[in-house]
Amino acid sequence: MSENPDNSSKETPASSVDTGSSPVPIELKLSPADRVKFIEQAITDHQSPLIGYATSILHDLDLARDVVQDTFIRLCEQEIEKISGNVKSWLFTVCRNRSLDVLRKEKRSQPLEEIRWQKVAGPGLQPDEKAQQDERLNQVLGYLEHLTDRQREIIILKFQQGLSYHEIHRITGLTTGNIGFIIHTGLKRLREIIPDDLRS
Amino acid sequence: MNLEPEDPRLTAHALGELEADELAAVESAIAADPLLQAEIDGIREIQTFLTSGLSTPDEHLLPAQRERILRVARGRSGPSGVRSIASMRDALHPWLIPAAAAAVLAVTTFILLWMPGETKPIKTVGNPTVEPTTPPEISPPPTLIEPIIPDRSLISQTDPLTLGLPVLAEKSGLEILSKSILTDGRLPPEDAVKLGEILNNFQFRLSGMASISRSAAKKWHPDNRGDTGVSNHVATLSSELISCPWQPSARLLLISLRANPLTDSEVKITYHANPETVQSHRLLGFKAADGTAAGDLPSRLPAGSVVNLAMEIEPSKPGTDLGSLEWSTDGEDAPPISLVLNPDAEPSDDARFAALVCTWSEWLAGDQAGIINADIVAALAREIASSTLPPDRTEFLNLIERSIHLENE
Repeated sequence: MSENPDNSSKETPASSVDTGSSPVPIELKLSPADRVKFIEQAITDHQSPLIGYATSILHDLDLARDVVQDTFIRLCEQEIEKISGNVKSWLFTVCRNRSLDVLRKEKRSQPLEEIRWQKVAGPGLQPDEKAQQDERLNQVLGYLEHLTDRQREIIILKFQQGLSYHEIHRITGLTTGNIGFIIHTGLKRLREIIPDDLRS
Repeated sequence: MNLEPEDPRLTAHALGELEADELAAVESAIAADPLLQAEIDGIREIQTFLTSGLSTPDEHLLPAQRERILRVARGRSGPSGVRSIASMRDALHPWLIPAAAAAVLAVTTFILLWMPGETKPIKTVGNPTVEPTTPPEISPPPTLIEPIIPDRSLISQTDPLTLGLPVLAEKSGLEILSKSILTDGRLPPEDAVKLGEILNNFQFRLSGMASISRSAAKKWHPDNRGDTGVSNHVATLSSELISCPWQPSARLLLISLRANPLTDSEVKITYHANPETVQSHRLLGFKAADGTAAGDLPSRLPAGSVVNLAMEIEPSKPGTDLGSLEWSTDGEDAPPISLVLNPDAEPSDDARFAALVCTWSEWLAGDQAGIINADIVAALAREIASSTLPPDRTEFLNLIERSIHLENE
């Protein structure tokens, strides 16, 4: 039985299975080798945004990696054909639910300002650039602390993860109209508190 | 269409989220009203600020985590073979339950009758005739997060002189023990102790013989390190032979396999015992399965990973040549390592720490019941303790101390 966290299997394409962003479709009736290939592609495509998203909830990079690992293991359990086309939303939904579970268990209440982003400089990112990126990120997260939990979550999904209203609807269960209103009011609040010289 | 600057549709338009049926009307309204245009500019400004400010570096799963996921994926037979526990429960007919219970009871009885004791003697090399007859092959059922061949499982061995060694980069075993001891305040179940995974939490610079595998296809050369600045070697294998802490007559062979930081590889390692000098040997953390057909050992070495192994070797007579380690990477033979004992050599600090890890793990696992006790573990830990230990090793000593307290409680 396939896990379908967002009840959106009606949008599953019938002819191919892809990881959500891979341009290379994988035919139905996956062989074991193709199944592994699919999972590998899904990891390549989505691990980084998922870790970023889980970190925004958990405030802990190691825990976020654990949650993302669990998420992909859950993906391995699924009948992939049934979630094809929705893999990205499916992964974010499972990742979100797992993160919230962990958060409840860990009872973590670390404020965003104290997040220790244990980053490793990526290719081409010099230490000074990395430090600047860290500083800018912490600054923005600090402003997001002035929003409600719901506003903060939706804005991170929209502006950090680049998800559409429809994808956010699949993950959170909120209507697209509600999502639009939450983003609108959240942005309005941020425009009030963020100085003009920082925004321009 | 009349629009106010407060209308959420302006935000949706600026973010490209407006539905087609409203798009034209909203665009017309914006074009006709400078206030609305200014509002759109303000939304796009904050959009740019958030998008650039919230960008995070590309974080990736750790190589061991990625490998664990792929092991699970490889362990699945395909979509038709994937079934959740819930679906299996739904499909279970009521009359099957007593039948299944009876079957489990029968299998359990069979296993208990055949299962060797916890202190199974180590593999004898010199006198194969005293070996027990072929035991039944007891394969643990595959689980979601366990390695293909879990620690403490059976290692196939058809030839008493050779032993294939598993390449397992897994390291979560220590975390499980830490949670049990430090958080739950109890010693872990013996079968939860996975020596190989505990060893893999540490990096060892062993001072014995070492070998580097250099792929001919990559035309390795010290001056040709490529754009990454990383050597093109495939993997390095190092070793050290020291006295076995719990068995003075035996030797502890420590093996450390280190991957290239950037590339995965397939590695096969085999220990070849010298029949002239070796009476018996065993891979710590595993139970030998004599005479069973050789299976595929885990051989995938993820980029950047380190695999540590430990063997106990019992010499049959004084001698320095205890055999060799032969290995290959990606199908190409690498220089073998001769296991030559130097009785005068002082063990390295890393080897002494590795010996402590092995001793503690064997004690927790009950593998040497009656031989290893808390006093031996405590004595070894006291020898290791110093103010200059790295933090991870200091934490490990604290874990040992806590486990000994739990044992005494």
